[in-house]
Amino acid sequence: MECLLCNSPFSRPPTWMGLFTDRGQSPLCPRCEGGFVPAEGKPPISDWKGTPYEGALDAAVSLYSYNDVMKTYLRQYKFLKDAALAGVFSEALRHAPILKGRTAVPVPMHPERLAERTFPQVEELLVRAGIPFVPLLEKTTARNLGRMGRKERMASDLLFCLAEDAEIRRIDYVLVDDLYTTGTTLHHAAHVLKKSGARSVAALTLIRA
Amino acid sequence: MQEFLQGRIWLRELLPFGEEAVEDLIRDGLIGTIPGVTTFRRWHGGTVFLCNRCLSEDQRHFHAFNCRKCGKVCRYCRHCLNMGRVAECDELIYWRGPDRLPAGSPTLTWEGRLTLLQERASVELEESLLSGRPHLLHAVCGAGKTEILFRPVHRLLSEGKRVCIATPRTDVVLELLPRFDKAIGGTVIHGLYGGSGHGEGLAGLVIATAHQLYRFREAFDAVIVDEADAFPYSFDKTLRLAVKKALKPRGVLAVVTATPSPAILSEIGREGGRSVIPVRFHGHPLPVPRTVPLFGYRKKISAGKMPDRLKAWTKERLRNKEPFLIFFPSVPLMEQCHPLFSQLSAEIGAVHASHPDRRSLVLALRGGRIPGLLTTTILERGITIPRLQIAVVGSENAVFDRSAIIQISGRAGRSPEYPDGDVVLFHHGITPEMDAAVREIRRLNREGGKAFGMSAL
Ligand SMILES: [Zn+2]
Ligand SMILES: [Zn+2]
Ligand SMILES: [Zn+2]
Repeated sequence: MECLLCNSPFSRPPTWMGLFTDRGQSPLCPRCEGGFVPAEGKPPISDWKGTPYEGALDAAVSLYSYNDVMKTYLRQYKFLKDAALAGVFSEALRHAPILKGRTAVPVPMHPERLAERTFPQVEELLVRAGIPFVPLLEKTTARNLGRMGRKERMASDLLFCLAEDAEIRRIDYVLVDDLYTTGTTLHHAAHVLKKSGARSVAALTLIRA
Repeated sequence: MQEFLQGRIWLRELLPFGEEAVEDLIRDGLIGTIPGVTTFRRWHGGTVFLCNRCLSEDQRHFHAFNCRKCGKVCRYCRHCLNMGRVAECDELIYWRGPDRLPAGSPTLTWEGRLTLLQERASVELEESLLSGRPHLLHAVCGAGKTEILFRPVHRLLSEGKRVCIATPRTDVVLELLPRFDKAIGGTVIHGLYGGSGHGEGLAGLVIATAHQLYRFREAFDAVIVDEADAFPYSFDKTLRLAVKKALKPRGVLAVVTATPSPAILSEIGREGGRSVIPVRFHGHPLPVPRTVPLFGYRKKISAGKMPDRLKAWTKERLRNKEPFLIFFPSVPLMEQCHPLFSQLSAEIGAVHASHPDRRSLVLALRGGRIPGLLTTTILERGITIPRLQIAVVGSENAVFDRSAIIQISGRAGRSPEYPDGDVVLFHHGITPEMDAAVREIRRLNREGGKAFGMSAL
């Protein structure tokens, strides 16, 4: 088969599992696959101490670091809109311990952004991994966080609100997003869930920038 | 807008113009639109998809997803993804108004001289292109192919025709562009490759990587495919279709290659013209590779030892201060070997396709700042280094097919002052491809000898 990232042809040793299902089979060549490096440590949510968002997140985990291979991946997935890449991390996501006993909530895109991208990149990761989720949030601003300074980000108005008909229960939630940069997005999202009655809110991101 | 669109086919949402202006021209019938991906129902059931930009109909290239733009299950083409994704619900746009001629009056400013063989090939190529018949220019590496093209290309441009030179790689575009800029004045020349701009104005001559041809439609009166043998899978079907699509209905194709494959020969056909240049421009024969067994080299290298013969060869190059290239079949093997070579000389470099410093390392080798370079097959083309010596480690590997070995051998001894160069194939068993390459080089040298009236090897 052909690697979804570098297009080079590759074969892999046949496995018994592989005969019946493509579970656990990477669509990437061993070289690309081996290029992803686990994230070092956990996202520093303690940076948020002393801000109005302190304690919004109870725990946070990122799976991979933002190295060159990962940048290539994310560029192709998001900017080239290569939806086929949504399945690359299914196995790793499924096995993330932080999902256990928690209800997954994807961080949503603004409808305008979604129309441009044509698919919701975070939800798509969960769909392909077969992880059940509830869409509880809505993005209120189409503004791009990347263009704001750190101060501005931390002080900005809430970026999310509850989705229509969303019902927050007294259970444990885990927000899922692609990238943890400063944590603004996740803290804002967590704040909304907490305020509405969530018992705890954790965060799982594919990448720690 | 016409300058940009004429001959192109472009994703509507990526057009560098306002939507209103586009709307107007569509209404006036000057711009046509087609869906990005077309669906065909097959008579015996099932559907097939076709990408209208790259013309791929390999069904593995199409990925289905729940599209939030059109609200349906939508397919996009992964084959030409890098040029901006084309999906079923996207529109491609092309110019359908009257064509404009490229501005300017081209002048041939090149003052070099052609050898008799080059001269003959150049005249033959020009005749073919003017009479609308396909042409094969079969020339060994170092035959001075580019010089042969100057006059025919200039002639076509002076007649108001649009010409494209398509090559497999960006390196070659970057090498050809300044040479044509210097050789032909008074015309607009664009160089297009992944990451280049789109060029200003309407170009008479476009020098582009073959993939850029996907973005053209009925644009050129002539397409010259350079180094046709270097395409992955030897000029694969989609690329061939892309060339056809980029040509005007009565446009003509010329192919330049050192090792014409059966696919290329059939493309040119019987009616096509053909010129052969079996010798290099300095008239010396191609170095014939010698084969040296290096049995069990993988084991040895894994154990951290450099095979003796390879070590001896490298040491001799270092002693004689001869620049060298050593080719490896794969990046991991090359990376395993690199530390072993570093023990002989710390300055020996290693490059591969995605290496960021590729170009500067090659220039360092050419400038004598490093003694030698380890490389995967990617460097086999587009560099000329005087006195270059060459070794291939593991020449029995499938990547070193006949055409690759001939190309690699052509790198050695390319300058008139030092026409000889050692080419060694270190192998774990001789393959039919290695045999075929050696036979072909001998044959070319014999023909070259005849043509020159001198005795060849
Ligand atoms: Zn790969
Ligand atoms: Zn395509
Ligand atoms: Zn669609």
